Amino acid sequence: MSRTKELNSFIQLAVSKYSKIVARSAFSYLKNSSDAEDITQEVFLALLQSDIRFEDDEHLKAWLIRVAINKCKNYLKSGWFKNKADLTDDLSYMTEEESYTLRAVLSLKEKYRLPIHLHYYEGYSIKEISQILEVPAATIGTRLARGRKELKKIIGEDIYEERYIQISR
Amino acid sequence: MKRDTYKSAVDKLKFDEQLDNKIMDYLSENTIKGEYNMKKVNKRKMGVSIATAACSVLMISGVAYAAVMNFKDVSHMDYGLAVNNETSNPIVENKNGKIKDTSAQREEMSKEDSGYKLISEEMPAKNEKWIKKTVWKDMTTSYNSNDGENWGIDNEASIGITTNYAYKNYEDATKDAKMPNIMNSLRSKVKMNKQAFYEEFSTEGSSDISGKQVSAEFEYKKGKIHTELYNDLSNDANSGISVITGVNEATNQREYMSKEGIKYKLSDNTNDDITKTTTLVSNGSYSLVVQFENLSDDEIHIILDNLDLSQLDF
Repeated sequence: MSRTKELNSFIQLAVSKYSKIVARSAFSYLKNSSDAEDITQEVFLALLQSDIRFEDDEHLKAWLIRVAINKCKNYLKSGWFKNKADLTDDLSYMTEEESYTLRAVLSLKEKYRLPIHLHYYEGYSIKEISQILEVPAATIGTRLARGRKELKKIIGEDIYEERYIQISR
Repeated sequence: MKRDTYKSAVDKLKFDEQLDNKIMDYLSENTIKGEYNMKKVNKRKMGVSIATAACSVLMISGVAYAAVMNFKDVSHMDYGLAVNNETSNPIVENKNGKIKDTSAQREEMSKEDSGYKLISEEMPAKNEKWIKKTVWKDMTTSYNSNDGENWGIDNEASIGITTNYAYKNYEDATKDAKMPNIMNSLRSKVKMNKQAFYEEFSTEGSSDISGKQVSAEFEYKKGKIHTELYNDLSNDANSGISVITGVNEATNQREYMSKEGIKYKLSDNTNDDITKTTTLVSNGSYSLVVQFENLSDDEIHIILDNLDLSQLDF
């Protein structure tokens, strides 16, 4: 197999497997599917151009999400984005409960929204999120707790749990 | 609000049906044929998670702890378990004898730009058993308190460095760590999940290792077992340990005397209909936390009866 074919095979596999995950992570940051798709393209371009040695699927997935978040941050800083109108998606194709829940999460501050998405949708542990977002694990734990508290204020009931052991020594 | 509601909402998010094709077209337009970098993916590891320790460990720098150097009793606390101490431990105790949730307080203390920073990443040479080495620097501002209530910046606190080695099997991790293999008698009963981790804790500018830890997750029947074995090498008289098992109060607090005569304090913590049972044992320089998920007490007793703690100075 030629180098190019092997690479194409790897990229195609990565795109087919992770494009939606990347797009959803970008959406949780940008609140807009069109922008999220643009970011997703940029993320896979970064993958193509990178020379990182991925150990396994999880390493690749975490890397893609981290790059997506960094690109979203840069995107939000861009003058182009700042001048754009709010294009928050029409979520009428969801049930009322689903769209209400999603909008509640999207209404949270970014620092709460992202850990909640990564923990409760992607299933990452607090330590894994701390590595992806490069924020201390204790901070992530607190942000999850506060995000939940904010959600409770909005929707009137609690959300989920925190599954971790916290050890102090 | 149910977790499933959020998950199903996110699952339903509509993206362009041709998104994958668009991405591939975009990549073709933005790359020059033949100038690709090769991805170094080891396909044999595909599907194996790089997830770090199943139990999230929070290292707290610069905090004074209570003295515990001899055989230690373990007490049930409202939110977990803690080693008994004559001396007040600001993290473990407050005036009501409850473990304080100091996470919010610590976040207030921490600077926005602080955190653990990856400072190096290394792949193994052929003769190494570990599969990845990462070194992390604790950028968090350290605080100190004499009473657990009033905190100030600890300007003299050293900067923590954590060196993390990932392994494909638990035995290699314990051998490299020169730590006891507590799961040795259980090899035929359990199967390690994901990876095992050996971590060394030190401070910047010093080659001295203040502590070592081996952690892993195992599958047993239909449940899981998380283990974290810590060896405190600091010779610090002010060291102690507490385990916060969840955001809800611990329930079903109980004891079990193993066939080896070791008394285990067990408590449950239930979140989102998932109950986890945790125990903490500590003696000499060692502390061991074991957490069980989806296992009955009878199954937990089998595991506890077969943990090999003979080398932990018990």
